[in-house]
Amino acid sequence: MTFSRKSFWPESAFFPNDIEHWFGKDYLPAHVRDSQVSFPAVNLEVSPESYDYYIFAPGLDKAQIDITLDKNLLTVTGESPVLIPDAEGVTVYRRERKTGKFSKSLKLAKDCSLNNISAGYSLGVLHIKVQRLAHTRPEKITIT
Amino acid sequence: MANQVNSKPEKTLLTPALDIYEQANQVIIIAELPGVNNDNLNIQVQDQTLSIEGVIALATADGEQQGHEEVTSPYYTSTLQLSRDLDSESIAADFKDGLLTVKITKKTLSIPHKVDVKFI
Repeated sequence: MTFSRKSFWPESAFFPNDIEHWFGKDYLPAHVRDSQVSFPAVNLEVSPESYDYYIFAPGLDKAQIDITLDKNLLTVTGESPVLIPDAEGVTVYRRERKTGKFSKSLKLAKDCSLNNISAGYSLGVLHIKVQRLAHTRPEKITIT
Repeated sequence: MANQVNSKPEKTLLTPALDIYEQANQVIIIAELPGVNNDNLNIQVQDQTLSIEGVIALATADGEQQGHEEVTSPYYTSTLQLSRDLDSESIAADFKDGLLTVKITKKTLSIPHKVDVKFI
């Protein structure tokens, strides 16, 4: 997986892009930093053969992840578990993890092969691979 | 503007989301490190400072380009200063599905205990 430094915030946005620019992303408090990404965070990588979605959702129960396809809308639902016990004698110092049920809808491109979708959950990342239609892939034309 | 963008440090570090709570005789830290495998996880304690580092390792196909990116770096790092009441020699950790759980035992003296008073 490759990582670039692309920012999806417009350059004109004053906050929090400016703070991030001067002090770096780690300076931001967790709630501001996390407001810049959806829950769960998604990375998409595009290759000539496929679209690869990586959904970063640690600690999920594999059996409770649900992926449905309606026309070209792929919806992933699951539940991020609450791990802090709700009991007497427990003192909470930080509660930064986002927990609870989530639903993530991904609109697939027109050149997706809707019959060729596979998914796997490993290391807390749900990887959904959507193959592209063969005739839409770029191909080299040889000059005769 | 272009120069300012280029002046950013090369390595962007992500701070993992943390849950920290205290229970009975221990403090429990849960860190989210999705995409990190066992070989790329490093936990260290030195001078009552706990460091957690991880690198995302996901296999990718050849010729892939970034289409959309919300996790912008493969590097996670977090440093926590441990209280002197915690026993840095007694730490247990487990890692499953991108969730790291670290359990640190409190020193015996810091656990509240009832003092028996002899009434004379």
